[in-house]
Amino acid sequence: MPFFRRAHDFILSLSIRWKIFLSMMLVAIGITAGVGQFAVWQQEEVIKRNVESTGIFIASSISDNIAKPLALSQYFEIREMISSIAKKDDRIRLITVTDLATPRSEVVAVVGEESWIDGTKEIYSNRVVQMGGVEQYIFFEPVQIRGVQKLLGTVRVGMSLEFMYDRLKLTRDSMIAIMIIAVAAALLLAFVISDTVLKPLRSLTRGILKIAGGEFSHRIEVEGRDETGVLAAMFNHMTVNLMTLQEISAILNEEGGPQEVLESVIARITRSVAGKTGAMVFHGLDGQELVAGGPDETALFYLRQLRSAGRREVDQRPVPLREPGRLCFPFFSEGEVTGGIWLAAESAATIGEIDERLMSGVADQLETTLSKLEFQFRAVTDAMTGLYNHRYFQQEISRLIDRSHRLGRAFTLIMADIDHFKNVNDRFGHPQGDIVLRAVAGAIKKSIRGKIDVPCRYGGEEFAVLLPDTPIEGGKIFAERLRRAVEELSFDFDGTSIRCTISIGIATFPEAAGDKRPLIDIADRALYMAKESGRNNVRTYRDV
Amino acid sequence: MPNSIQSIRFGRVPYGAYGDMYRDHQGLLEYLSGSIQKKVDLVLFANYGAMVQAIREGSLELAWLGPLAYLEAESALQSESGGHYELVPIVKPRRRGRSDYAAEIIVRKDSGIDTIGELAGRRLACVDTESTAGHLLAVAHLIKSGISVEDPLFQRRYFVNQYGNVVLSVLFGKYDAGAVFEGAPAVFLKGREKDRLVELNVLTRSDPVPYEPIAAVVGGRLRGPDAERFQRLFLDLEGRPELLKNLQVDGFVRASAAEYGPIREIVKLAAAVRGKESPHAVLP
Repeated sequence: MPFFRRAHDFILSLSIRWKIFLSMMLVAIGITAGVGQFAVWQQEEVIKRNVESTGIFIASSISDNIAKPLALSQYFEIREMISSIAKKDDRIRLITVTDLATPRSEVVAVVGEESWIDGTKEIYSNRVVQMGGVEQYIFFEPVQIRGVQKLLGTVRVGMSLEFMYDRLKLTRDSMIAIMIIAVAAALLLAFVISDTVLKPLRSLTRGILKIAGGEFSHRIEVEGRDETGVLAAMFNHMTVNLMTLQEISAILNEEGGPQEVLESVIARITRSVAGKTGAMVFHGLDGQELVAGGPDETALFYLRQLRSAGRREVDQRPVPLREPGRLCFPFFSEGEVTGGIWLAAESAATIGEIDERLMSGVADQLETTLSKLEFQFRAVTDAMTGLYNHRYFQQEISRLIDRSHRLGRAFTLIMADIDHFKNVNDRFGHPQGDIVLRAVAGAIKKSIRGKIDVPCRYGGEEFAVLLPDTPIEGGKIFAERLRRAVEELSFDFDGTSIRCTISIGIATFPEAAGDKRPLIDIADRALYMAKESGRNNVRTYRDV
Repeated sequence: MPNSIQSIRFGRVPYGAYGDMYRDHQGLLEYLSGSIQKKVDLVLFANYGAMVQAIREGSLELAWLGPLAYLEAESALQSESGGHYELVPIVKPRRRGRSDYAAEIIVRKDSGIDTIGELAGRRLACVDTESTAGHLLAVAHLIKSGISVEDPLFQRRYFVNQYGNVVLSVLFGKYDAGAVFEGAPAVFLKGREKDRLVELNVLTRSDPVPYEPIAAVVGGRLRGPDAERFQRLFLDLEGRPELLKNLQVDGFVRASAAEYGPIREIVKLAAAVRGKESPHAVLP
C-alpha cells in the first residue's frame, strides 16, 4: 500500500489547477484510448468477418461459374475470369483453379505469386495461414457441375489481411491524432475551468487574509452565480456578521447594566438582520423583565413559560423557539432561564440560515455577558432590599474617596436608620419588619439620581447612600426628600395602620473627614444626633 | 462511303482473353478510324460460326475470318444475297515471313504417341468445328494420312473454343492430341508454362493454306473502292510496327479469293467426319 499512500499524498500536494489538468488529461486520454482501442478491435473484427464472407462468396462464385468452362477445358476463359475478379478486389492475393480431370491435377489458372501455389495445394478447407509473413485467409471450394457427382476441380482464393493492418494503422494514427487534439482541448478546457474556479478562490484567499488582519470592511467581488459566487457572497455575509459580532462583543465589553447592554446589542443587530429583533432578561432577585427592541408576545410568552417551569439541570438547556418567521433563543445560566433574544421576520418571510446563525452567536455572547452581569449584580446586592450590600458600599466609598482625591470633587455620605424598627418586629413579627425594610429601600431608590447615586443597605435597619459630586447642601436636600418620602409610607399590619420614619446623618468628604472610617463614624454620629433630637430628623457632621 | 454516320464493324474471333483483344486492337482501330474519318468498332465472336452468321445477317463490314470460315461465309453470302453482297478477301497476315500456315497435331512427349497411326482411338482436342487449323485442316490431314473416318478418334474430338485451350489441355494431359496452327504452343505457353514447351511434341503437320483473310463485305455500307482503301490501309501498316506487333503479325499481303479455292477440298474431306463427334462429349 505504500505506493497508493504516496500517490494519495502526491495528489493531495497538487494545486487545484494541476488536479484539474491531470484529471482532464487522464479523462481525455482514457476516453480516446478506450474508444480508439474499441474502434480498432471492432474494425478488425468487422474486416475479418467481411473478408471471410467475401472470400467464401468469391470462391463459391468462381466455382459455380467455371464448372462448365473447366469441363470444356476453356482455360483461357477461366484465366480471363479470375484475372478480372482479382483486379476488382485488391484484397485478393491468390486464385488458383485446379483441373482434377488432368492426370496430375494441374493448376490450370493462377492469379498471384507462384510460391503461394505450392503452399496452398494441400488446403482443402477454409483456413488462415501465414504466407510471405502475412496472415492469409485461404478459401477452398470444389468445382462440380450441378447434378454431377464427379469433382471437376478445385478453387482456392487467398485473401490477405495486409490491407487490414494498413487500415488499422490508419485508424490508430487517427486515434492518436484525435487523442492529441482531445488532450490539447482538455488542457485548454482545464485552464479555462481552473481559471474560472481559482480566480474567485484567489479573491477569497485575499479576503480571508484581510479578515485575518482585522480588516472586516473588506468585501469580495461577486462575479458569478455559481458555487464560487455563492461562496464569495456567503463569505461577504460572514464578514458582515463577524463585524457585527465584533461590534457586539465591543458593546458587551463596555461598562453597563443589563438594560444598557440589551439596548445597545439590539440596536446594533437590527442593522444586520432583516426583521424585528428584541431581547429580554429576567433581572434581579425578583426576576424583573428588562426588555429591549421590539417586543414579541410569542417570544416573551415562550420565555416566561420556560422561566416559570423553574430551575432545571444545567445540561438541560431549553431548545430555541423556531417557527415560520420567528426565532427565539433563550438565555440559560446555572439551570435557570435568564432571558432570551428573538427575531421576527417581516410578513412571515423565511429567516435565512445566516441570520439564524448570527442570532445564535449573539445569543451566546449575550447570555454569557448577562449572566456575568447578573452574577456581579447579585454579588453586590442585598437580597432583602435590592439595594447594594455592605461590601459594595465599602468598595464604592473607597472608590469615591480615591476619585475625590484625584479629581478634587466632594461627595456626600448619607446614613439612615428606621426609627423604632425593633418595635415593628416585636409587635408584628419579622415578615412585617421585612416589608418595612423593603418599602424604605424602595423610597430610597425613588429618591436617588438614577445611576449616579449609590443606595446601600448598611446593615439591619440602617441604610447608606453615597452621593457622588455632591456637597453638603445637596446632601441635605436629598436627605430631607428621603425623610419625607419615608414619612409618607403607610402600612396596614393586622388592621393596624402603621407609619414609619427614618433618622438621617450626613457627612461630606473631604470636609467632614479625610478618610473612610472617620467619614463613616462622623456620619454615624450625626445620625445618632438625629435620633437623639427626637428621630425623623436630619443632622449633618456640622451638627456633631 | 455511302453512310458517314454508321460505324464500320470489324469482326474477329479472339485468340486470347477478350480484354487482351480490345487492348491489342486499339491501335489498329484508331488507325483505321483516323484514316477513313469514320468510327471502326471491334466486334468479337465466340467462334467462326457466329461470325459467319453475322456476315450473313449484314452485321459486319470487315471480318478477320479463318480460311474455311471465309469460304463458308462467301458461299452463303453469294447465294443468299443474289449477288448484291460480296465477301472480298483484301489482305492476309504475314507471320515470320510466311503468309500461309499449316495445321499441327501436338501431343505430349510422354504420351506414347509417336506416329499418326498411334492416334487411332485417342482423344483429340480441337478449337471449334469451323476452325481451319484447329479442326478442318487437321482432320483432313489425318484422313489423308490414313486414319479411317470410322476411327473412334473422330468420335473423340473435343472442341475447346481456343487454340490456347487446345495447347493447354494437351499439355495438361487432358486430351491425347490437339489440332492447332503451326507454332501455337510457343504462342500460348507463357509465364509459368513457358518452360513446359518441351513437354510437347509436334506429331504431324498438314499442307499449308493461306493465312486467314481479312475480308470486306461489299454491297452494304462498303463499296468496292472502300474495300480497296481498307486493303491499302492494311498494307500500309508495314510502316507501323507497333500496331503490327499488337496484332501478332509481321505485316499484311494482298489476298485473293482464288488462293482459298484448294481449301474447299479440305472441307470436303473434313465433312466426312462431320457430326461424328459425341454431342455430349464435354467430360473427358
